[in-house]
Amino acid sequence: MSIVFTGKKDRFLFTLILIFTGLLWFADPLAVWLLPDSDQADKNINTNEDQLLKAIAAIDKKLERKIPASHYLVINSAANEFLLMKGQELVKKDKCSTGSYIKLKSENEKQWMFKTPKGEFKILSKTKNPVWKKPDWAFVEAGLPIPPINDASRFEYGVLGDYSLSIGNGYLIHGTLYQRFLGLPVTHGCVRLNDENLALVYKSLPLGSKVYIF
Amino acid sequence: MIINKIRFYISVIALLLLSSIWIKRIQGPVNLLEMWSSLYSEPLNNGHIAQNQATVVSLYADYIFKQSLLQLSSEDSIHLAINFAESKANLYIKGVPIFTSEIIIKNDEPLMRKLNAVTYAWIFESPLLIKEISTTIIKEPIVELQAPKTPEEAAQNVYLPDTLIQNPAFLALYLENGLRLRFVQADNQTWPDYFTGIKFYFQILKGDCKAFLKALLTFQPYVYQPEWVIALPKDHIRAIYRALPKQAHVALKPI
Repeated sequence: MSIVFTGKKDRFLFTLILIFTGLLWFADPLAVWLLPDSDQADKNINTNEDQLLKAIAAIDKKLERKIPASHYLVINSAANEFLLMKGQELVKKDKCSTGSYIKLKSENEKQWMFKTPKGEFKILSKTKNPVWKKPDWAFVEAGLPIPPINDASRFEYGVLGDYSLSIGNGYLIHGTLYQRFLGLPVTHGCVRLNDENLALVYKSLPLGSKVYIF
Repeated sequence: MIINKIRFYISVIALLLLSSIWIKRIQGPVNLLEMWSSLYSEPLNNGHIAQNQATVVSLYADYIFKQSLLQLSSEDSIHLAINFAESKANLYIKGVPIFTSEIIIKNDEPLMRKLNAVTYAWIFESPLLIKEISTTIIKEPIVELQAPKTPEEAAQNVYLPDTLIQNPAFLALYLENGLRLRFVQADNQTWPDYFTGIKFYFQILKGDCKAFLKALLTFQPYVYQPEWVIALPKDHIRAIYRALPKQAHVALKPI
Protein backbone atom coordinates (compact mmCIF):
# COMPACT_ATOMS: atom_id res chain seq x y z
CA MET A 1 0.00 0.00 0.00
CA SER A 2 1.46 3.31 -1.06
CA ILE A 3 1.21 6.26 1.26
CA VAL A 4 2.01 8.73 -1.51
CA PHE A 5 -0.87 11.09 -2.31
CA THR A 6 -1.65 10.54 -5.92
CA GLY A 7 -5.13 11.89 -6.61
CA LYS A 8 -5.78 15.60 -7.14
CA LYS A 9 -8.17 15.75 -4.16
CA ASP A 10 -5.64 13.95 -1.94
CA ARG A 11 -2.82 16.26 -2.91
CA PHE A 12 -5.03 19.30 -2.32
CA LEU A 13 -6.03 18.08 1.14
CA PHE A 14 -2.45 17.18 2.02
CA THR A 15 -1.27 20.65 0.99
CA LEU A 16 -4.05 22.22 3.05
CA ILE A 17 -3.04 20.17 6.10
CA LEU A 18 0.57 21.23 5.68
CA ILE A 19 -0.35 24.91 5.31
CA PHE A 20 -2.72 24.77 8.28
CA THR A 21 -0.09 23.10 10.46
CA GLY A 22 2.62 25.52 9.42
CA LEU A 23 0.43 28.55 9.98
CA LEU A 24 -0.65 27.33 13.41
CA TRP A 25 2.44 29.12 14.70
CA PHE A 26 1.00 32.43 13.49
CA ALA A 27 -2.55 31.84 14.72
CA ASP A 28 -2.11 33.86 17.92
CA PRO A 29 -0.55 36.97 16.34
CA LEU A 30 -3.11 36.79 13.56
CA ALA A 31 -5.94 36.69 16.09
CA VAL A 32 -4.46 39.66 17.94
CA TRP A 33 -4.13 41.54 14.67
CA LEU A 34 -7.75 40.79 13.80
CA LEU A 35 -9.03 42.15 17.11
CA PRO A 36 -10.63 45.60 16.83
CA ASP A 37 -8.51 48.52 17.98
CA SER A 38 -9.33 49.96 21.36
CA ASP A 39 -10.61 53.24 19.98
CA GLN A 40 -13.93 51.44 19.64
CA ALA A 41 -14.21 51.38 23.39
CA ASP A 42 -14.54 53.87 26.20
CA LYS A 43 -16.06 56.67 24.21
CA ASN A 44 -18.22 57.33 27.21
CA ILE A 45 -15.19 58.15 29.36
CA ASN A 46 -14.24 61.81 29.35
CA THR A 47 -10.74 62.92 28.57
CA ASN A 48 -9.03 65.97 29.83
CA GLU A 49 -5.46 66.33 28.65
CA ASP A 50 -4.73 69.14 31.09
CA GLN A 51 -6.00 67.07 33.99
CA LEU A 52 -3.74 64.21 32.99
CA LEU A 53 -0.73 66.51 32.65
CA LYS A 54 -1.39 67.97 36.08
CA ALA A 55 -1.79 64.52 37.62
CA ILE A 56 1.49 63.36 36.04
CA ALA A 57 3.33 66.47 37.26
CA ALA A 58 2.01 65.88 40.78
CA ILE A 59 3.24 62.27 40.77
CA ASP A 60 6.60 63.34 39.31
CA LYS A 61 7.02 65.77 42.20
CA LYS A 62 6.24 63.05 44.73
CA LEU A 63 8.70 60.69 43.05
CA GLU A 64 11.43 63.34 42.92
CA ARG A 65 11.06 63.93 46.64
CA LYS A 66 12.01 60.26 47.21
CA ILE A 67 15.49 60.85 45.75
CA PRO A 68 17.94 62.18 48.38
CA ALA A 69 18.91 65.75 47.57
CA SER A 70 22.35 65.36 49.14
CA HIS A 71 25.08 62.82 48.30
CA TYR A 72 24.32 59.11 48.38
CA LEU A 73 26.07 55.94 47.30
CA VAL A 74 24.77 53.18 45.02
CA ILE A 75 26.66 49.88 44.91
CA ASN A 76 26.12 47.30 42.19
CA SER A 77 27.37 44.05 43.73
CA ALA A 78 26.83 42.06 40.52
CA ALA A 79 29.10 44.32 38.49
CA ASN A 80 31.29 45.49 41.42
CA GLU A 81 30.74 49.12 40.58
CA PHE A 82 29.69 52.10 42.64
CA LEU A 83 27.98 55.39 41.83
CA LEU A 84 28.35 58.44 44.01
CA MET A 85 25.28 60.56 43.36
CA LYS A 86 24.04 63.97 44.40
CA GLY A 87 20.33 64.16 43.75
CA GLN A 88 19.96 63.01 40.16
CA GLU A 89 23.49 64.05 39.25
CA LEU A 90 26.31 61.51 38.91
CA VAL A 91 29.40 62.60 40.84
CA LYS A 92 31.61 59.53 40.37
CA LYS A 93 31.39 56.05 38.90
CA ASP A 94 34.15 53.52 39.39
CA LYS A 95 35.08 50.00 40.37
CA CYS A 96 34.73 48.58 43.86
CA SER A 97 34.87 45.12 45.40
CA THR A 98 32.01 43.37 47.15
CA GLY A 99 31.34 40.00 48.81
CA SER A 100 32.89 36.88 47.31
CA TYR A 101 29.94 34.55 48.04
CA ILE A 102 32.35 32.16 49.71
CA LYS A 103 30.80 29.97 52.37
CA LEU A 104 33.56 29.10 54.80
CA LYS A 105 33.01 25.98 56.89
CA SER A 106 35.09 25.29 59.95
CA GLU A 107 35.77 21.89 61.49
CA ASN A 108 33.39 22.55 64.40
CA GLU A 109 30.40 23.02 62.02
CA LYS A 110 30.55 26.83 62.23
CA GLN A 111 30.10 28.60 58.93
CA TRP A 112 30.37 32.11 57.51
CA MET A 113 28.89 33.50 54.32
CA PHE A 114 30.91 36.33 52.74
CA LYS A 115 28.21 38.24 50.96
CA THR A 116 27.39 41.95 50.78
CA PRO A 117 23.88 42.65 52.06
CA LYS A 118 21.36 44.25 49.67
CA GLY A 119 18.92 47.06 50.35
CA GLU A 120 18.89 50.55 51.81
CA PHE A 121 21.47 51.46 54.48
CA LYS A 122 22.71 54.58 56.26
CA ILE A 123 26.19 55.75 57.18
CA LEU A 124 26.18 55.08 60.91
CA SER A 125 29.74 56.04 61.77
CA LYS A 126 32.89 57.36 60.12
CA THR A 127 36.45 56.65 61.21
CA LYS A 128 39.81 58.09 60.19
CA ASN A 129 42.79 55.72 60.21
CA PRO A 130 40.64 52.74 61.19
CA VAL A 131 42.04 49.71 62.97
CA TRP A 132 40.66 46.36 61.92
CA LYS A 133 39.55 44.16 64.77
CA LYS A 134 39.78 40.78 63.14
CA PRO A 135 36.73 38.59 63.65
CA ASP A 136 36.91 34.80 64.18
CA TRP A 137 36.57 33.98 60.49
CA ALA A 138 39.76 35.87 59.66
CA PHE A 139 41.72 33.33 61.76
CA VAL A 140 39.72 30.32 60.58
CA GLU A 141 40.28 31.38 56.96
CA ALA A 142 44.01 31.70 57.55
CA GLY A 143 44.24 28.30 59.23
CA LEU A 144 45.15 29.85 62.58
CA PRO A 145 43.75 29.17 66.06
CA ILE A 146 41.09 31.66 67.24
CA PRO A 147 42.56 33.98 69.92
CA PRO A 148 40.63 35.48 72.89
CA ILE A 149 38.29 38.41 72.09
CA ASN A 150 40.64 41.30 72.92
CA ASP A 151 43.89 39.57 72.09
CA ALA A 152 46.54 41.83 70.54
CA SER A 153 46.70 39.60 67.44
CA ARG A 154 43.14 40.65 66.58
CA PHE A 155 44.11 44.27 65.92
CA GLU A 156 45.61 45.14 62.58
CA TYR A 157 46.65 48.63 61.52
CA GLY A 158 46.60 50.12 58.03
CA VAL A 159 44.76 47.33 56.21
CA LEU A 160 41.43 49.22 55.87
CA GLY A 161 42.94 52.31 54.24
CA ASP A 162 42.73 55.87 55.52
CA TYR A 163 39.01 55.87 56.26
CA SER A 164 36.10 53.57 57.01
CA LEU A 165 32.36 54.18 56.98
CA SER A 166 30.06 51.80 58.83
CA ILE A 167 26.65 50.80 57.43
CA GLY A 168 25.79 48.53 60.36
CA ASN A 169 26.09 44.86 61.36
CA GLY A 170 29.87 45.00 60.99
CA TYR A 171 29.75 45.94 57.31
CA LEU A 172 32.12 48.74 56.30
CA ILE A 173 33.06 50.77 53.28
CA HIS A 174 36.84 50.92 53.44
CA GLY A 175 40.08 50.95 51.47
CA THR A 176 42.29 48.06 50.51
CA LEU A 177 45.89 46.99 50.11
CA TYR A 178 44.87 44.76 47.21
CA GLN A 179 43.87 47.40 44.65
CA ARG A 180 44.38 44.96 41.77
CA PHE A 181 41.29 43.07 42.96
CA LEU A 182 38.99 46.09 42.60
CA GLY A 183 36.11 45.22 40.26
CA LEU A 184 36.09 41.63 41.51
CA PRO A 185 33.94 39.99 44.19
CA VAL A 186 36.65 39.18 46.71
CA THR A 187 35.62 40.74 50.04
CA HIS A 188 34.10 39.23 53.17
CA GLY A 189 30.96 41.36 52.77
CA CYS A 190 32.45 44.86 53.14
CA VAL A 191 32.78 47.24 50.21
CA ARG A 192 36.32 48.12 49.17
CA LEU A 193 37.25 51.28 47.27
CA ASN A 194 40.54 52.64 46.04
CA ASP A 195 42.26 55.39 48.07
CA GLU A 196 41.08 58.30 45.92
CA ASN A 197 37.45 57.14 45.79
CA LEU A 198 37.45 56.35 49.50
CA ALA A 199 38.59 59.89 50.32
CA LEU A 200 35.89 61.34 48.05
CA VAL A 201 33.16 59.15 49.54
CA TYR A 202 34.33 59.90 53.08
CA LYS A 203 34.27 63.63 52.36
CA SER A 204 30.94 63.57 50.52
CA LEU A 205 28.82 61.35 52.75
CA PRO A 206 27.92 62.80 56.17
CA LEU A 207 26.46 60.60 58.90
CA GLY A 208 22.97 59.43 57.97
CA SER A 209 23.64 59.48 54.21
CA LYS A 210 21.93 56.76 52.24
CA VAL A 211 23.76 53.78 50.77
CA TYR A 212 21.85 51.58 48.34
CA ILE A 213 23.25 48.14 47.59
CA PHE A 214 21.86 45.76 44.97
CA MET B 1 -10.20 2.20 -4.48
CA ILE B 2 -11.13 1.52 -0.84
CA ILE B 3 -7.65 2.54 0.25
CA ASN B 4 -8.01 5.80 -1.63
CA LYS B 5 -11.33 6.47 0.08
CA ILE B 6 -9.88 5.71 3.52
CA ARG B 7 -6.97 8.03 2.77
CA PHE B 8 -9.34 10.75 1.71
CA TYR B 9 -11.48 10.44 4.83
CA ILE B 10 -8.41 10.40 7.08
CA SER B 11 -7.23 13.60 5.39
CA VAL B 12 -10.63 15.22 5.90
CA ILE B 13 -10.66 14.21 9.58
CA ALA B 14 -7.10 15.56 9.99
CA LEU B 15 -8.15 18.80 8.36
CA LEU B 16 -11.17 19.11 10.64
CA LEU B 17 -9.03 18.42 13.68
CA LEU B 18 -6.52 21.02 12.58
CA SER B 19 -9.31 23.51 12.00
CA SER B 20 -10.58 22.99 15.52
CA ILE B 21 -7.04 23.49 16.87
CA TRP B 22 -6.83 26.68 14.80
CA ILE B 23 -10.12 27.94 16.17
CA LYS B 24 -9.01 27.11 19.70
CA ARG B 25 -5.75 28.99 19.19
CA ILE B 26 -7.38 31.95 17.52
CA GLN B 27 -9.73 32.26 20.48
CA GLY B 28 -6.74 32.64 22.85
CA PRO B 29 -6.44 36.44 22.80
CA VAL B 30 -10.22 36.89 23.00
CA ASN B 31 -10.38 34.51 25.97
CA LEU B 32 -7.60 36.45 27.69
CA LEU B 33 -9.39 39.76 27.16
CA GLU B 34 -12.63 38.24 28.46
CA MET B 35 -10.83 36.86 31.49
CA TRP B 36 -9.33 40.28 32.26
CA SER B 37 -12.70 41.98 31.75
CA SER B 38 -14.33 39.61 34.22
CA LEU B 39 -11.56 40.24 36.75
CA TYR B 40 -11.73 44.00 36.39
CA SER B 41 -15.43 44.60 36.10
CA GLU B 42 -15.58 47.08 38.95
CA PRO B 43 -15.72 50.76 38.02
CA LEU B 44 -12.35 52.45 37.74
CA ASN B 45 -11.50 55.04 40.42
CA ASN B 46 -9.64 57.45 38.26
CA GLY B 47 -10.25 56.46 34.67
CA HIS B 48 -10.76 59.22 32.17
CA ILE B 49 -9.62 58.62 28.67
CA ALA B 50 -10.65 58.55 25.06
CA GLN B 51 -8.44 56.10 23.24
CA ASN B 52 -8.99 57.78 19.89
CA GLN B 53 -6.42 60.47 20.70
CA ALA B 54 -2.86 59.23 20.41
CA THR B 55 -1.34 61.88 22.68
CA VAL B 56 -3.87 61.20 25.38
CA VAL B 57 -3.27 57.47 25.14
CA SER B 58 0.43 58.10 25.65
CA LEU B 59 -0.25 60.52 28.52
CA TYR B 60 -2.66 58.11 30.11
CA ALA B 61 -0.16 55.24 29.86
CA ASP B 62 2.43 57.55 31.45
CA TYR B 63 0.02 58.45 34.25
CA ILE B 64 -0.77 54.79 34.94
CA PHE B 65 2.95 53.87 34.94
CA LYS B 66 3.86 56.66 37.35
CA GLN B 67 1.04 55.68 39.67
CA SER B 68 2.46 52.19 39.73
CA LEU B 69 5.95 53.59 40.47
CA LEU B 70 4.54 55.69 43.27
CA GLN B 71 2.93 52.65 44.85
CA LEU B 72 6.23 50.76 44.66
CA SER B 73 8.14 53.63 46.25
CA SER B 74 6.44 52.92 49.57
CA GLU B 75 7.93 49.40 49.63
CA ASP B 76 11.31 48.59 51.19
CA SER B 77 12.49 46.05 48.67
CA ILE B 78 14.16 46.43 45.29
CA HIS B 79 11.80 46.42 42.32
CA LEU B 80 11.93 46.63 38.57
CA ALA B 81 10.35 49.19 36.25
CA ILE B 82 10.22 48.79 32.50
CA ASN B 83 9.27 51.69 30.29
CA PHE B 84 8.91 50.51 26.70
CA ALA B 85 8.15 53.99 25.43
CA GLU B 86 11.55 55.22 26.65
CA SER B 87 13.30 51.85 26.12
CA LYS B 88 14.50 51.74 29.72
CA ALA B 89 14.71 49.10 32.41
CA ASN B 90 15.29 50.50 35.90
CA LEU B 91 15.78 49.15 39.37
CA TYR B 92 14.39 51.18 42.27
CA ILE B 93 14.57 51.09 46.05
CA LYS B 94 11.92 53.18 47.79
CA GLY B 95 11.48 55.31 44.70
CA VAL B 96 15.21 55.94 44.23
CA PRO B 97 16.51 54.81 40.83
CA ILE B 98 19.62 52.73 41.48
CA PHE B 99 20.20 51.13 38.09
CA THR B 100 19.28 52.02 34.53
CA SER B 101 19.73 49.96 31.42
CA GLU B 102 18.91 51.03 27.89
CA ILE B 103 16.86 48.37 26.14
CA ILE B 104 18.75 47.49 22.97
CA ILE B 105 16.00 45.58 21.17
CA LYS B 106 12.39 45.14 22.23
CA ASN B 107 9.52 43.16 20.89
CA ASP B 108 6.23 44.91 21.63
CA GLU B 109 3.10 43.01 22.52
CA PRO B 110 0.40 44.03 19.98
CA LEU B 111 -2.43 42.97 22.28
CA MET B 112 -1.73 45.98 24.51
CA ARG B 113 -2.94 48.31 21.75
CA LYS B 114 -6.25 46.46 21.72
CA LEU B 115 -6.99 46.95 25.40
CA ASN B 116 -9.63 49.41 26.42
CA ALA B 117 -8.65 52.08 28.91
CA VAL B 118 -10.39 50.46 31.88
CA THR B 119 -8.70 47.10 31.41
CA TYR B 120 -5.34 48.76 30.71
CA ALA B 121 -5.58 50.77 33.90
CA TRP B 122 -6.62 47.81 36.01
CA ILE B 123 -3.75 45.73 34.78
CA PHE B 124 -0.95 48.30 34.91
CA GLU B 125 -1.86 50.91 37.53
CA SER B 126 -0.64 48.57 40.28
CA PRO B 127 2.77 46.93 40.29
CA LEU B 128 2.70 43.38 38.95
CA LEU B 129 3.93 40.58 41.19
CA ILE B 130 6.56 38.26 39.73
CA LYS B 131 4.95 34.87 40.24
CA GLU B 132 7.67 32.70 38.75
CA ILE B 133 11.17 33.08 37.37
CA SER B 134 12.98 30.90 34.89
CA THR B 135 16.63 31.66 34.12
CA THR B 136 20.10 30.45 33.19
CA ILE B 137 21.73 32.79 35.74
CA ILE B 138 22.89 31.63 39.16
CA LYS B 139 21.22 33.78 41.83
CA GLU B 140 23.98 33.48 44.41
CA PRO B 141 27.23 32.02 43.05
CA ILE B 142 28.18 30.44 46.36
CA VAL B 143 31.57 28.74 46.60
CA GLU B 144 31.85 26.38 49.57
CA LEU B 145 35.27 26.21 51.18
CA GLN B 146 36.39 23.98 54.00
CA ALA B 147 38.49 25.90 56.53
CA PRO B 148 42.19 25.14 56.15
CA LYS B 149 43.94 23.46 59.04
CA THR B 150 47.25 25.26 58.65
CA PRO B 151 48.43 28.61 57.22
CA GLU B 152 50.25 26.65 54.47
CA GLU B 153 46.98 25.02 53.43
CA ALA B 154 45.25 28.43 53.53
CA ALA B 155 47.77 29.82 51.06
CA GLN B 156 46.74 27.14 48.56
CA ASN B 157 43.01 28.02 48.76
CA VAL B 158 42.34 29.55 45.36
CA TYR B 159 38.96 30.12 43.74
CA LEU B 160 37.69 31.83 40.62
CA PRO B 161 35.75 35.06 41.34
CA ASP B 162 32.21 35.08 39.99
CA THR B 163 32.72 37.97 37.59
CA LEU B 164 35.22 35.87 35.67
CA ILE B 165 32.66 33.13 35.08
CA GLN B 166 30.51 34.45 32.26
CA ASN B 167 27.42 32.25 32.22
CA PRO B 168 24.89 33.04 29.48
CA ALA B 169 22.15 35.37 30.73
CA PHE B 170 18.57 34.53 29.75
CA LEU B 171 15.69 35.32 32.02
CA ALA B 172 11.90 34.95 31.93
CA LEU B 173 9.68 36.67 34.48
CA TYR B 174 6.13 35.33 34.76
CA LEU B 175 3.95 38.13 36.06
CA GLU B 176 0.43 38.42 37.37
CA ASN B 177 -2.40 38.36 34.83
CA GLY B 178 -0.56 35.86 32.65
CA LEU B 179 2.01 38.36 31.35
CA ARG B 180 5.60 37.41 30.60
CA LEU B 181 8.84 39.34 30.21
CA ARG B 182 11.67 37.52 28.46
CA PHE B 183 15.18 38.98 28.69
CA VAL B 184 17.77 37.91 26.17
CA GLN B 185 21.42 38.93 26.16
CA ALA B 186 22.36 41.31 23.38
CA ASP B 187 26.14 41.31 23.65
CA ASN B 188 29.14 38.96 23.66
CA GLN B 189 27.18 36.12 22.09
CA THR B 190 29.40 33.07 21.75
CA TRP B 191 28.26 29.73 20.31
CA PRO B 192 27.58 28.24 23.78
CA ASP B 193 25.52 31.38 24.51
CA TYR B 194 23.47 30.88 21.34
CA PHE B 195 22.85 27.24 22.18
CA THR B 196 21.88 28.08 25.75
CA GLY B 197 19.52 30.77 24.40
CA ILE B 198 17.87 28.35 21.99
CA LYS B 199 17.58 25.70 24.69
CA PHE B 200 16.05 28.27 27.05
CA TYR B 201 13.60 29.41 24.37
CA PHE B 202 12.50 25.85 23.64
CA GLN B 203 12.01 25.26 27.34
CA ILE B 204 9.59 28.21 27.43
CA LEU B 205 7.95 27.04 24.20
CA LYS B 206 7.49 23.61 25.72
CA GLY B 207 5.59 25.18 28.60
CA ASP B 208 3.38 27.11 26.17
CA CYS B 209 2.67 23.99 24.09
CA LYS B 210 1.84 22.03 27.25
CA ALA B 211 -0.64 24.72 28.31
CA PHE B 212 -2.25 24.71 24.86
CA LEU B 213 -2.49 20.92 24.69
CA LYS B 214 -3.93 20.81 28.18
CA ALA B 215 -6.60 23.31 27.18
CA LEU B 216 -7.28 21.30 24.02
CA LEU B 217 -7.59 17.93 25.71
CA THR B 218 -9.58 19.11 28.71
CA PHE B 219 -11.92 21.28 26.60
CA GLN B 220 -10.92 24.32 28.64
CA PRO B 221 -10.60 27.72 26.95
CA TYR B 222 -7.06 28.38 25.75
CA VAL B 223 -5.65 31.67 27.02
CA TYR B 224 -3.14 33.62 24.95
CA GLN B 225 0.27 34.33 26.50
CA PRO B 226 1.28 37.98 26.04
CA GLU B 227 5.05 38.32 26.01
CA TRP B 228 7.64 41.06 25.64
CA VAL B 229 11.15 40.19 24.54
CA ILE B 230 13.79 42.56 25.86
CA ALA B 231 17.42 42.49 24.75
CA LEU B 232 19.89 43.91 27.29
CA PRO B 233 23.63 43.58 27.90
CA LYS B 234 24.48 40.31 29.65
CA ASP B 235 25.80 41.99 32.81
CA HIS B 236 22.67 44.09 33.12
CA ILE B 237 20.37 41.05 33.01
CA ARG B 238 22.52 39.44 35.68
CA ALA B 239 22.44 42.58 37.85
CA ILE B 240 18.64 42.82 37.53
CA TYR B 241 18.04 39.16 38.36
CA ARG B 242 20.40 39.13 41.33
CA ALA B 243 18.91 42.34 42.72
CA LEU B 244 15.31 41.15 42.69
CA PRO B 245 14.01 39.84 46.02
CA LYS B 246 11.63 36.88 46.39
CA GLN B 247 8.35 38.78 46.24
CA ALA B 248 9.45 41.30 43.66
CA HIS B 249 7.15 43.59 41.72
CA VAL B 250 7.38 45.13 38.28
CA ALA B 251 5.97 48.44 37.11
CA LEU B 252 5.31 48.18 33.39
CA LYS B 253 4.59 50.71 30.70
CA PRO B 254 3.96 48.64 27.60
CA ILE B 255 2.88 51.40 25.22
